[in-house]
Amino acid sequence: MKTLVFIGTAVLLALFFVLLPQPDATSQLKPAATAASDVSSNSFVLGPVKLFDGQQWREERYVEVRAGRVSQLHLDKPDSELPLIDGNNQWLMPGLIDGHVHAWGDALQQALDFGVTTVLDMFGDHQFLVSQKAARAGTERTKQADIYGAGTLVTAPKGHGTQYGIAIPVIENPEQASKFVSDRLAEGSDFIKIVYTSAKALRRFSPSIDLATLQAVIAAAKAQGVLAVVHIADLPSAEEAIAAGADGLVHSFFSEPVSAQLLQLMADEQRFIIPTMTVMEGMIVNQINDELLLQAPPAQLSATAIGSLKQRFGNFQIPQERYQVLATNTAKMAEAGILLLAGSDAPNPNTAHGVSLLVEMVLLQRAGVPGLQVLQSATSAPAKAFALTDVGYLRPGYKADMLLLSQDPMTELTTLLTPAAIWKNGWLHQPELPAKSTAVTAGLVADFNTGLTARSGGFAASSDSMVQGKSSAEISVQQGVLKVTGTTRPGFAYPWAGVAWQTAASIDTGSDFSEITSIKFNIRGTPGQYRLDAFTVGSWMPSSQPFTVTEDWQAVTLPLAGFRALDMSAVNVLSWIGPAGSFEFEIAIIELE
Amino acid sequence: MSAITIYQKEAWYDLVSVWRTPGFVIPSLAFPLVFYLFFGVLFSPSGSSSHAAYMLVTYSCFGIMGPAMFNFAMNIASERAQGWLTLKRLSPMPFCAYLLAKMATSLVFALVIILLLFSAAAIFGEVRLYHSQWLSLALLMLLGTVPFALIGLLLGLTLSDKAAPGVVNLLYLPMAFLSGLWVPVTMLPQFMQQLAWLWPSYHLSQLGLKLLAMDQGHAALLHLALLLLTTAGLTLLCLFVFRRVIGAK
Repeated sequence: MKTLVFIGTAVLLALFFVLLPQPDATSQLKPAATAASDVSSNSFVLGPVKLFDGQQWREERYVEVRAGRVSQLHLDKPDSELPLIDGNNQWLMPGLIDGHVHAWGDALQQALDFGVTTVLDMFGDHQFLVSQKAARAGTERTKQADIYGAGTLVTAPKGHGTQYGIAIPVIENPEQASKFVSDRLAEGSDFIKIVYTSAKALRRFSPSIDLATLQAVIAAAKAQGVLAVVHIADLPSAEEAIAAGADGLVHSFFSEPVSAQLLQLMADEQRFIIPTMTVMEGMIVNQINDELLLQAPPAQLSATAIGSLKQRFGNFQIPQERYQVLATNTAKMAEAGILLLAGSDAPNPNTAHGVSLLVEMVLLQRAGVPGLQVLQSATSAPAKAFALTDVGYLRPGYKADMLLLSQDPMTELTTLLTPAAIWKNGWLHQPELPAKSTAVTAGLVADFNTGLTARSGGFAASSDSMVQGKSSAEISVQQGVLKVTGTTRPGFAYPWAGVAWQTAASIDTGSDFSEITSIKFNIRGTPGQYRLDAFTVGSWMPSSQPFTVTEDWQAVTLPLAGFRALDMSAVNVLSWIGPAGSFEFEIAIIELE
Repeated sequence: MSAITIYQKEAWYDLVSVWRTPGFVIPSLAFPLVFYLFFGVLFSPSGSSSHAAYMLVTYSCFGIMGPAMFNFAMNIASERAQGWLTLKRLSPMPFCAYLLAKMATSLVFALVIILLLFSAAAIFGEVRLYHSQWLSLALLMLLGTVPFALIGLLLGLTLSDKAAPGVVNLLYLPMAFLSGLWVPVTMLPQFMQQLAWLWPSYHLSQLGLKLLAMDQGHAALLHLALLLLTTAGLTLLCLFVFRRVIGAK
């Protein structure tokens, strides 16, 4: 009996402990080290890692992060109530700072997807800048990089910066300088960016402010306590800007070799330069993106970004040797001890947000800048140059904007293209992979028996009226026929009017046409020379094929191979464009073969 | 009668005698439970289950200390006053059995308190731990009763039966507070946090919190060493006092 009671008690006790509830997978009460993705807070300990703090490689192996900021660095694993993220002895460095961008739309998301956690905007919408200021002050979870910016730039009437179709204030004489600068600061500018071309420059591409105005604006910026940085494109302009007291130059130049005096002056007075080699590589050589990115594009790279990387400047006819001048200038500046900042100048042709900063770092390294200085150029150097107190270092008090790298960036810089983990404000950032285009198979696209329904995507009238042209188009559907009425009138550089088939739900993904050899449709209408335009994602210039239309129904078959240089993997729009003048045409049964 | 039976019987009757004193049973079981429900569950910041888990450890510690100290101190003091202790000493029963019986009673109380607190934590506090954590916490707390039993023994041997309850309370409650058993030790002023190192209850609770990775981050071995040192010191002191009490007879 006693034994029975004893056993019964033991069984009940065992049962009690078995029945006690266990944590589910998301619980934070985990004693052992976890993978980064298992920690859902911005307070944690990360280690062991090899730590680059923005300035130098450190002895410390563990980073303690509290509420999104680095709270302490430890030599050994600290005893802490915080979850421990296993650093796997990988390489940790501060999130990158892109020293030269023009950000709008989703630029800040694109940047963060490549580990660029802060960008310095060198001319953009001041309202966009102001709207992002609250985010950069805190450590809230975000999908965007922080932004500091110049807002509206300082340029002469019709000068560089006015050509983008957006009305901006311009400066005409030195007397306006003080008011002009205070207006910019009132709008929210963090610093002042000035466009300047010297009267001594060999080539002047657009009107520039004069030297007196440059000096007055720099003096006004200093008097009002902000940095003044200058856009230049040649040696005389650079010399005059530095002599006038500019804090830094936001481009280098390839017009001629850098002078010893300029090197001396910049080094002695601790001025900085953002060479923006990537954008110049695009003007001169045009190879680096193909080599580093486009053969096997990183997964985060959207079709739009690829389009921007492939985009070319107009033919400047710059001799290839000029790139070597740029590279030598950059190396000399590094050697002279001038603070170099990596900056991409995205999204200019040959660049895209985020990814092009990594290209820039590779170009700096290839120009002969030592590895440590290359890493500093995207971390502590911009923080020093622009007196940023929140970012650029992994030291106590700084934001926990961090990159974990699977290889040593000192020996293999391209490891930055595929970081093992990105933290922004201490939150693990999962880059959003762009949606893939879906493959299109042969068969009927639309027969117009049930309205405008297409197998995928949809139809819409299309004309240059959407870009302030004077053409117009309307569409309607009746009994298996799509009717298009329109007028093509001059008024836009490339006038058009017709009907567009957007091939997929999203214009940003398009459809994969690799399986398709030709497109076939029945058409009749105002006789004349028509054309079919095909667009790919990220490009606004179509590839075209002409065809002739008569008043009688006829079947037209166009081979897709006839579209010159069309990227079949991401076709997003096909447009049937009518002839010049007023026209009317009908399409029935569109098929892919 | 085999030796084992003597130990069993002594333990059984000690338990029964304590169990039949509702004035002891009810407060020592209800006190930690009510405190835990108030401070660990009801007044927890925004119903945080990690707060409830933290407090489960500290109130378990608080809970097991009480019966160990009170059972030893009050009963030994009163049995000493009534002459029971002398009688037991004279009987053929090994005196060890008397002490072990008291220890067993303390362990039973400790176990019941642990069961109550764990149930409350699981049901009301939504505390979720791994089986290994639940079990090791329970074992740690059972083992942890030893130093407090020794404190109780020491007080029982030295104090009169009238003084014992008051003095035990005077030690028990401040020790619990200063060890961070009522409010987390990190919320105490700095000098009190340093004082916490004096108390075995602080080290026991830190060891318990370490199982949940919620401790202050000092080495587990340090806490364990200090706890064992305290226990050894108390044992020596008890032996010394015990000899003197016997010698005085």
